[in-house]
Amino acid sequence: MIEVENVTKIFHVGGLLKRRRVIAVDNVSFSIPDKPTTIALVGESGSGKTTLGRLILGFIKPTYGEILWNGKNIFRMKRNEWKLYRKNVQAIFQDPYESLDPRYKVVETLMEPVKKFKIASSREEALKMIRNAIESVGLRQEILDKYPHQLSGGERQRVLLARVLLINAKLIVADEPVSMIDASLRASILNLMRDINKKFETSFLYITHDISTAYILADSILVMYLGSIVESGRFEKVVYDPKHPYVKLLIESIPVPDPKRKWKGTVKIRESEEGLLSKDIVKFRSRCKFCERCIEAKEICWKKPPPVIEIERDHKVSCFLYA
Amino acid sequence: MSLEENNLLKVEDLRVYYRTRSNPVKAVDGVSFIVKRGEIFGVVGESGCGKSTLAGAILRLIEPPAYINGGRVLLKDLNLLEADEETLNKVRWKEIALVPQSAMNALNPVMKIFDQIKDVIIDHKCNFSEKEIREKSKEIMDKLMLPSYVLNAYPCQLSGGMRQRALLLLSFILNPSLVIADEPTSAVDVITQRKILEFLDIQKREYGTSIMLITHDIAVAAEIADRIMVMYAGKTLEIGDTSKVFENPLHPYTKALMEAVPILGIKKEVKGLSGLPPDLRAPPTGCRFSPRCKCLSEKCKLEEPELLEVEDGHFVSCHIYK
Repeated sequence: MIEVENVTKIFHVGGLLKRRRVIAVDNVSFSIPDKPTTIALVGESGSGKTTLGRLILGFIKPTYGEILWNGKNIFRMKRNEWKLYRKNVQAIFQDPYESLDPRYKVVETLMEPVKKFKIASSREEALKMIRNAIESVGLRQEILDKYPHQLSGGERQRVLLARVLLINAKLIVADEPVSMIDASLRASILNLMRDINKKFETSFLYITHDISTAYILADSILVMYLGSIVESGRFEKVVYDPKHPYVKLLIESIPVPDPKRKWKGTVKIRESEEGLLSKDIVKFRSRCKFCERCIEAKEICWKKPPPVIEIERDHKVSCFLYA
Repeated sequence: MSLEENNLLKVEDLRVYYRTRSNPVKAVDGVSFIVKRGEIFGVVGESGCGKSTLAGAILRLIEPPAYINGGRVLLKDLNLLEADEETLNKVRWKEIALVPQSAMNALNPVMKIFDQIKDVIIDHKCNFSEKEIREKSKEIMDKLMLPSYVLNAYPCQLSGGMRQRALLLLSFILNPSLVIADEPTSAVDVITQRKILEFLDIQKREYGTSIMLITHDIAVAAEIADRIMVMYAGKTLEIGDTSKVFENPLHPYTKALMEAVPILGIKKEVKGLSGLPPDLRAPPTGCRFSPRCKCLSEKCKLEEPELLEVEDGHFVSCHIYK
């Protein structure tokens, strides 16, 4: 369905005097298959996961590389193709308080895409579809007459999911959709996303820093570190048997809600001496980015960028230890 | 050591309210607990349950419209709620240090980290030489894996995770008997989170420092807390040894919390909790969890449950156990 091919996004930050370049996404390639699936895009803050999501949504253009939808570059689409793409690829963001227009009642918010994409032939049909969608996301019909400020964070995310259902999108880019929601409510939103994935055959690109929540949803996983995908593959393969030193540390460091399964030993990582943002980007790109923190780094890791190695089917790692 | 001597901090029936135009918001409403010497006491609860207000109230750092509406906070024999400013200033940093949640704003932006450390030390009339301060800082920084340049940096030159750890450095520099850490890992990545939690555990074991760890994440509490307290809507619902609370959660809310989180590789099915926490200006009569509770009886709607010791050291506030 979507192919991301060697995509790089460079931002220029700072003023006139201290302008510098930040590589948010660095030569990333992966694809999202046609059949419904959920891919977790995992990384810490600053890893480029949100930028990659925004690129796929077409909000920003890549500096290099292409993003293809059924073989077509999304930035060279004709007007109606582009409209269809925007219909099929929808977004859900972290902050549900900012994603709903405060002046619109829920019913009006949901009517908007129905009109825009001419989904229903009459107002009655539209309302019927809206009611169905509201029911599918576990909300009561009364909510239709409420304004966003009368809703909780969880209810807002449900409204946004209802909107996506109405449009019948093929792919939902969900960027940290539950990180502002408390655990007890979070579980039901995650379950709802899983149901939508199964029942309506909608695919998700689930962008998160939290591998535990991804466990509930994801079929496969991409782990990003400073703009690069360091490891990817089937969720279980990567998470149960991580190969990249960074991913190993990441998985080992997830706190477990069970006092019988505490962490063993201490975490072994080096702290880099400089702030990462001040890195000389040319030098930085010519080697593995995890070098200075990696306890297994070899000489070669400092000299060349690591190759992508296929450990087994559906499991790739970008690290010299496996070359 | 007798049992009493083993208690470092004793909070009794603490009430902290926020003034509003209508009824006050009862953010902390009759909370009682004990923090023992040399233990990590986890305070677990979701947003708005009063856990941060509680942290501020212990050191009397809350500002209007919040006010303390009763209760006692005993550090050994000293009631902090009645102590004068001078005594309080001696206690802060030296006996009890608070690591506030917003590490971004907690440090002075125009002072280097080292100068802020010196400031705390001079303020408490500890006669450390510059060299001693550096040595002591170095020791803590090594444990926190903070590079040495941090000492001579301004807060704006550090990343969020580093600022968070710089704040911990400041809190532990005078070897306080209690450190209250309010969500010390909420803005950092998982690896740094683990590093910070390991640090707290080391301080506890090496110096016998008690730590009150406030968190919304029961997994964080499960990793390092010796005992935990579960809060909901300004109330204590359950207190007990971490192992007991996880093995045998008593309160329906505690059970729901555990059902809501996945365990990687073991538990994929999670269950959410319907409904929302109550409006604390007009909390429901009876048990505050009753509108969302599955094991509801008539009594729950009428009578507020008291905290009862159900098994050794395991307390719960729920009518089921009466």
